[in-house]
This record gives sequence, structure tokens and C-alpha cells, in this order.
Amino acid sequence: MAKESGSSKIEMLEISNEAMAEAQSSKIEMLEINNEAMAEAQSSKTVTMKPAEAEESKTETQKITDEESKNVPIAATEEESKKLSITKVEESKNAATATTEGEKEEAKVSLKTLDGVTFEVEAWIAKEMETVQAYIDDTSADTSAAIAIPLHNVAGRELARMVEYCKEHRRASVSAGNLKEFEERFAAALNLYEMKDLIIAANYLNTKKLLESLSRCIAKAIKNKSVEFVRDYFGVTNDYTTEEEAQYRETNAWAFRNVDEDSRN
Amino acid sequence: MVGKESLRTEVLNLSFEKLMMVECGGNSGKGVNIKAGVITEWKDIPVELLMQILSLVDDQTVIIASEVCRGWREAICFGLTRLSLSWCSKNMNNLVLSLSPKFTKLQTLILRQDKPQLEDNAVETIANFCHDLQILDLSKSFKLTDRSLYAVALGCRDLTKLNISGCSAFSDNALAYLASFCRKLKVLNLCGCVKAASDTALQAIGHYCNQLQFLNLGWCENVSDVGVMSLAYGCPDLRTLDLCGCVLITDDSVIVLANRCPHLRSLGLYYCQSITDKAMYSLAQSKLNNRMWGSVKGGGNDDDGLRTLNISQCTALTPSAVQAVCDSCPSLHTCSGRHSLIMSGCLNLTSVHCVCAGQAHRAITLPHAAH
Repeated sequence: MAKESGSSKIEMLEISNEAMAEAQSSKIEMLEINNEAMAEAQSSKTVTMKPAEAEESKTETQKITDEESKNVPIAATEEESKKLSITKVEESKNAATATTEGEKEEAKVSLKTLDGVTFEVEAWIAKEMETVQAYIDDTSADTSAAIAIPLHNVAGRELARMVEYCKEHRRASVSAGNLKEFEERFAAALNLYEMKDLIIAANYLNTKKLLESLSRCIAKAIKNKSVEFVRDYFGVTNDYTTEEEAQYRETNAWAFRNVDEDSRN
Repeated sequence: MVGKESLRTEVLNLSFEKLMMVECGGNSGKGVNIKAGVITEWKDIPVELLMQILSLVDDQTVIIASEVCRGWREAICFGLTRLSLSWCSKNMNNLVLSLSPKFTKLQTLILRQDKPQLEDNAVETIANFCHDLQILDLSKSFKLTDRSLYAVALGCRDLTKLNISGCSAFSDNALAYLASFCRKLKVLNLCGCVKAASDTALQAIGHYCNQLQFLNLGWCENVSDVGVMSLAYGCPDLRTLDLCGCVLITDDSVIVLANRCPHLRSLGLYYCQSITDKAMYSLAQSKLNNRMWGSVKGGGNDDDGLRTLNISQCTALTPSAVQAVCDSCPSLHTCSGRHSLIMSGCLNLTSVHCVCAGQAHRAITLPHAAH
């Protein structure tokens, strides 16, 4: 018996050693992959060129600026040279700000819904969705721009509506009257199931304005209504036992009165 | 290269899933109808979303919603922290008995009645189940007895606001007992609690409730200087004290309050006819001292001093004494827009005016001087 147990121990040790070796090799593979990726990134960042190639690779605008720099008159005094350098710096600053503003306008965020639809939305719309914005803030700008952000609990239809809401809300928010009218129209166009899906999506993505608007709409619909009306309205089945229901009806009889005629099933 | 790209997106997906995990109302997935991460029924909507919707409706609708289905009841019982049943004109007692065991997370409960309905058994149920209560309003509950106060004392020790105005059946022993347990009280309304608000009870409050900021003793005729002085010594943070109709109060109480309660902003002395100029001068002097001491410490504040003073029917006061208070407390106003020095019934005090009124008076008289 002792021998058997000893041999089984040795076998176990061998197995564990094999497992260790496998783990080590997989670690090495992972490291290699990482190193390759790093090397690729490095090569893409730093591209070494021969002078001739560099000249060829210059864009038209760069060539023009080079020619302009040749034509710039040499400053007679130090003061003039200072002035020239200052104006150059200011010009370059202005150009830089112009380009960044342009980029901001064009900046788009890709969002991928659970049904596989990819949306490209403006950055300001993504900002309205606080959960998406938090994700963008957490990851680097390059990563979030390159890859579609996955929205695992939002379908394409809901996201399309949310984007539409954000755009229309921005247009309508010029005057309070327009805004109220728009919100009423927007809510009226939805049936109850669409509203449920949309409010859950808005809650998930933390789109505050839409969430508040839909909450107000639902609250208005169920205010001062009976239990049965609320059940009918939301299509919720009663899962209380008959005894529980009877007891509740006895205590709170007022809750079962005044069922509105316009209850939606 | 393709493999690495997919690996990268997979990592991103995982991180985003972690970031955006949806909690389905504490059900942990059991019995929740979810298809591919989408909630398919209204009964399964997240707790915080249901509470967001219900925060926009009245309390009656909240109770109705709690009876729609088990899921909603659980969600509301878990999420509801504030409830008012003041709208309930009949059957409030039964409603409290049925709701208290469910809504155990309540922090605010308003049970004000126009017609007395609440009985001791309902308050005992509240005390047994709602241990997180911080604000409780039982005003005008004429049917309640000491049993209720003893129950609240033992069950709701985190109370910061208690309104028992008009609960005339409570005794001072029960109130003293409550004070010894509910030591976090900051707001206490005892208006009309003639039996409960005695010097004995106030001594207990002064001893145990050192954080007290607001106390209404309106029409508690048994309160004397002994009780008020105990309060002043024990509750240095007092900001509002209403002694309207406490006819036994004399200058001694006001002098101690002026010296011991530097944060006092509102003082009601309506019908305290034993109050004389001595009390007024002590108020004026203490406010000046506070301001000087504040400027020495570098914390001088223009808003310091009384903002509301009710001396209606205090017929023994003279204009010079009241004017001294008015001058030392710039927030006290006699002008019509911001009337905060109330002197109705004191016909001899018509000459008293605040800083604003004085400036307006000077502005009117200046043109005449030019002529």
C-alpha cells in the first residue's frame, strides 16, 4: 500500500511539473506576442528615411512652405528677427487651433449594439451617454477611436432612437415651449414596449435627459390610478395568491377603485 | 496580426461588460425574463429605474405600485426611503400596520393627521420594523399614549427630527425616556404637548440631546426658567427656540440663552409678559460680544445674530431696549418687505426701526435739508 501511494505521489508530481511547463510556455508565447506588438507599434511610430526618400515623401503643402521659407527676407536687425519669429509662432498657433477645432467637429465615436449594428455618432452625443463617456475616459483616445464600443444591453433600434432624441432635443431646446412639445411628441410616438426598451437603454447608458423625460411620461400615465389599471397598463401578471390579494383588498380598498377606461393592454 | 486584434477587442469587450453590468433588481437572475441581455417584461425593470419613475408620483401611487406584483413590491420595499400618509383621511392606522413591516428601509415617515386616527399599535409596528427612521412626524395624534413614545425610543434611535406637536396625552416621563435613547435629535416639535413638556423633560433633553438645533415649546404652559436654562446649558447649538405662550418664562431664561447659545437665530417670546428690558439688553450685548469675538478669531460674519424675534404682547418692553437689539442684529427687520421683528400688540414700540428703515427715513429727509 505504501509503495502504491508513493508511486501515485510521484505521478502527481510529474503531472504538476508538466502543467507548470505548459503554463511557462504559454506565458512565453504571450510575452512574444506582446513583444511583437510592441515592435510593430515602435516601427509604425518611428519611420527612418534616407534624405532623398524624405524629400519625395513630403506633401505638396510642405514643399510650398519650404519654398516660402527660402523666400523669407533675412532680418536686418535682431529686433526684426524677434518680430518675425513671434509672428511665425502666432501663425502656427492659430493654424494648430484651427485644425484641432476641425477635428473636434469631425470627431466620431463608434458604438456597436447587441444585434451587431455599428453606429458612428458625434462625440457630443456620446457625451450625453454618461456610461459611454466614462468608458472613453477610461481607455486611451486612440483605442476608443479605433474600435467600436460594445453596448451589450442596447439594441440598434433603441440606440437609433436615442441618437435621434439627442439631436432633436438639441434643436428644440432653443425655447422651453418647443422642448415640451417635442418631448410630448417623442413619447406619444412610442408604444409601451418600445418605451420600456428605450427607458432601460437610457438607464443603462445613463442618458439623463431622455431618462427623465420618459420617467415623467410614465409617471403621468400611472398617477392616481388603481392597482388593476397599473397592471393592465404595464401588462404585468398578478403573482399574488388569492388570499394575499383578498387581504390587501380588505386593507386598501381605495387602491382598486377608479380604473380608467383608457388602460393600454 | 488578426488574432492579436481580436484578442484586443475581446479584452475591451470584457472591460466594458464589467463597467456596464446591469443589476436586475436584486433578483440575481432568478426568474428574470431576459433575452440576450435585454429585459423583456416591465416587472423585471431595475430597482433604481422603478424608483426614478415612482419619485415623480404621489405616495398613494407608490403604495399602489407596490401591490402590482411581487417583483415591484420587493423593489419598492428595498428602495423606498420616504413616505407620507398625510393624504389618508380614513383607515391610516390599518395602512400603517400593513405597510410598516414591508417598508423597512424608510428614513422619513410623515403621519400628520387632521382627524386623529393613529393608535399605539401602529407606532409600535413602525418602531419594530423601521429602524433606519431619521424623520418622524406624528403631529395631531391625539389618540397616542406613552406606549408609542417608549416604542419609538427603543426602536428608532437614529431619529434626528421628531414632530409630536398636539400629542397632548404624552407624559414628561415618556419624553425624558425618549431623550435618553434618541440622542441624535436635532429638531423637536413639542408645540401643545402641555403634559410632556415640563422642566423634568427639558432637563433630560438638555442632558442627552446635545445636538439639538430646533425646539418648539409653543403653549407649553408648565415650562419655567429651570427647564429653559437646562436647555441653554446642554444644547449650545440651539438655533431656533419657540417659547410662545410659555407664560412662566422670565428674563433669567433669555439671559442664559443669550450667553450660552451663540448660534441662536430665531426666538419666539409671544405672550411672555414677564420679559423686561433686562432680557433685551442681554440679547443685544451678547450679539455684540459674539461679533467682536468672531472678528478676533477671524470668523466674523455679518449674518450673525438674531434673524427672527417675536415679542408680541410683551407689554413691559420699552423702545430703547428693543432698538438696542435691532441695532446689534442687522438681520432683524421692521420694514414691510422683510418683517422679522414682530411686535404686534406693543403700541409703545412703534418708534423702533431696523437699519433699512433708518436709511430710508434719512433718504426722505435729506432733500428737505437742501431747501
